[in-house]
Amino acid sequence: MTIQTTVNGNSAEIALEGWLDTQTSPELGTAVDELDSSVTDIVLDFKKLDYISSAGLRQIVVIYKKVRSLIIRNVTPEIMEIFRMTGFDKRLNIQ
Amino acid sequence: MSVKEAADSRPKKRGSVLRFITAIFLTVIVITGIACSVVGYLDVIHDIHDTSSQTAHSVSVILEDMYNSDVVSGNEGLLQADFRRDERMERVSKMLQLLCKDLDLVYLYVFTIDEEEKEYLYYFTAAADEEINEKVSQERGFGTVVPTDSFPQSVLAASKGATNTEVWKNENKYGKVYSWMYPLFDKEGNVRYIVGVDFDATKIENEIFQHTLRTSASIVLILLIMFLLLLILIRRKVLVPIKFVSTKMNRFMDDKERDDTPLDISVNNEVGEIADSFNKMRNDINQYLTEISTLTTERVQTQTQMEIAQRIQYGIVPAETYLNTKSYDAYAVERPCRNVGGDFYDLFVRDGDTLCAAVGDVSGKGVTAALFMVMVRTAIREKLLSGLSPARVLNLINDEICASNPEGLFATVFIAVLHLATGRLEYANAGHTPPVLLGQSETFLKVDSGIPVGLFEDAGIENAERLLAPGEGFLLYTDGVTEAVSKGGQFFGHERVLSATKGKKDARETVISLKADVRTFAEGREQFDDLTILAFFYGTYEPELSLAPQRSEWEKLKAFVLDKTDSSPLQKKLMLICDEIFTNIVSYSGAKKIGFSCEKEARCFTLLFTDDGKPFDPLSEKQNKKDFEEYDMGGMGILLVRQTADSIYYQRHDGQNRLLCRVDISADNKKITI
Repeated sequence: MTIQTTVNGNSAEIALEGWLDTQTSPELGTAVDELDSSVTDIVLDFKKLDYISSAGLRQIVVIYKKVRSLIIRNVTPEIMEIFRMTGFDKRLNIQ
Repeated sequence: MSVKEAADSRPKKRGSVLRFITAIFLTVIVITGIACSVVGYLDVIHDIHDTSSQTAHSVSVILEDMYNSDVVSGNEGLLQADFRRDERMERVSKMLQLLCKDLDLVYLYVFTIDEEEKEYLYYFTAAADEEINEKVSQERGFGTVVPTDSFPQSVLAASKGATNTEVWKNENKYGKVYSWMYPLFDKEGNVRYIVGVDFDATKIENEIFQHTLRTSASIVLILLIMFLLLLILIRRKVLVPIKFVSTKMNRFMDDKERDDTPLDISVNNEVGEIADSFNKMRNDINQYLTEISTLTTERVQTQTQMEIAQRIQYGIVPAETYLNTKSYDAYAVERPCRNVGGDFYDLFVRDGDTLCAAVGDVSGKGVTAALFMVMVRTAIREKLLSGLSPARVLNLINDEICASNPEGLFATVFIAVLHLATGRLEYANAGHTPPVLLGQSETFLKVDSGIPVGLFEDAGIENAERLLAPGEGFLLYTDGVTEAVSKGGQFFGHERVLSATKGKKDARETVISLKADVRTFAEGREQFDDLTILAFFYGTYEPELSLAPQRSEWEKLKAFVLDKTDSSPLQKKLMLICDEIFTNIVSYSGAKKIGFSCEKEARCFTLLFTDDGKPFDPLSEKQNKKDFEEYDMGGMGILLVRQTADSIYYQRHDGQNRLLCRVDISADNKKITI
């Protein structure tokens, strides 16, 4: 999985590419942890994300609880389906 | 027809009742005739005897009167003109001749006898006939003495004054005569002369004969006429109708020219009764004949049908099938009952990876049932080979049958399909007896009873599935097993099925044991239904992939699944399930070894995880929907699996967790809840 992080002031945009599975999800956690503590708003770009499992979803919850604002962008229908199964679609700001 | 009967049916020479009656009548007539003749004869003789004796007596009285009056008148009396021919004598002679003529006498003569000299002394002799009169007047004229050897009794009696003399049948040169002798008394009462009166014997006899003949003949004639009338009556009223009935009876059962029309006789007597009885018998026999002929036809038809059906059945359904490899062990037998039944089974391996088993029972018997069975069985095999699910197979067959089923046939069928790669068992039931789950503990599987195929359109038979662990098996059978009846009238029932298969680990052994138990149970009774038993066991399971319980093994698993599937939304679903379950096992089970198989079936993918960790049934996990904020602690994995997979089946077997997930290839496959 490739993680592309762009920081702009107190907001950061993290673009994910590939599979966010049990093996790779810790990488997302690491990427967020590495951000400056001034970053309060995070935007996750799922445009190139092919796959997400519960481990990935768990990381999203961790990030959600950590920051002030979390926006998920460019969600593919497949992943949207998984959000729907878990009720994430109702709690997350999906654009 | 036996020899004896054949001999009996040969026409016998029979006597005739008419002839018999005639014989009796003739005998009666002859006897009557004879009796009449005898009686008549005696009667006539008596009559003539009386008449002639009276006549003779009268003549003697007349002569006696003449004599005595002659004496009184001073003459010498009748005979005092001793041996002279004078006028008076001529007159007497003439008068005697007149008497002869008037009284129809042959001779009339007056004589005395001299017993000592043995002489007749004739005074007068007259005859009716002129010439003879002349002659006898000469030969036995006045004063003729005729010597004799002896006197007849009547002459002697008359000479002694007896007036009750018997007739003297006398034949001499003057002819055959019946003579009466009467004494002629003078005034003093002394016998003066003997008067002889002769009747013509031939004439009398003739008269007697004629009289007798007349009497008898008339009686015989009357009898004869009466008899003839009676005969005609008997013939018309009895014999002809009887003959008619008899002819009718003969023709009733005649092979060539059978006449079974009812008897129409307008006779109101015993023959009429016979005719009535015949008509009743005719109706009964005709009815029986119809019944017998119907029964015979039916029996022949049934027998032929049964033979054809049996040949069809034997040809299509082998008596036994035995399949055995490392991964499966299957055995089936069919024993049709004495005729032919609608039982059938099918047992085959599809594409080397699927064991297909079907057991069914078709309604009815005979060729129709056999053909129907063949149709159903062929359709099942064809559809199973095309990869359809058991329920789909049954529903399609149901639709096909319902489209055209004039005979109203139906069949109960149970289909089980075992996917050998995983042990996933699919099954569907169309109204058949429930199967027994073999292996660890023998139990009847609770299955949806379904509806027999052919009964209703839109049967809506549903698929069911479960996971067979290695060593577990399935027993299918027909109701010939559970409904076998013992001598005591008990049914074999379900409990005996369980006890017969208890602890059996081998398909052949299981079937043979159950069959033997049924046979022993029903000993002495005819098997009244077919008997079909099929058993199969799942053999050893080898996971395709063995994994260590480490997160790093995920890449191996991922690569394996990706390799087995092509990129599609389905692939992601499968990956998600694998991801979640693998993570779960690695994180919580404490397993030392993880086994995995991914099998692409005709309509779905199946994923089987095995691990030797602590028991964990993801299905029993309470589905408390956690709050979003709690999901950082996990708990979404099983939820996602349950949402993604079309079915999940968990079992704990032999110290292992076994979890099977199915994901259907086509989305329109109905989701199955297990």
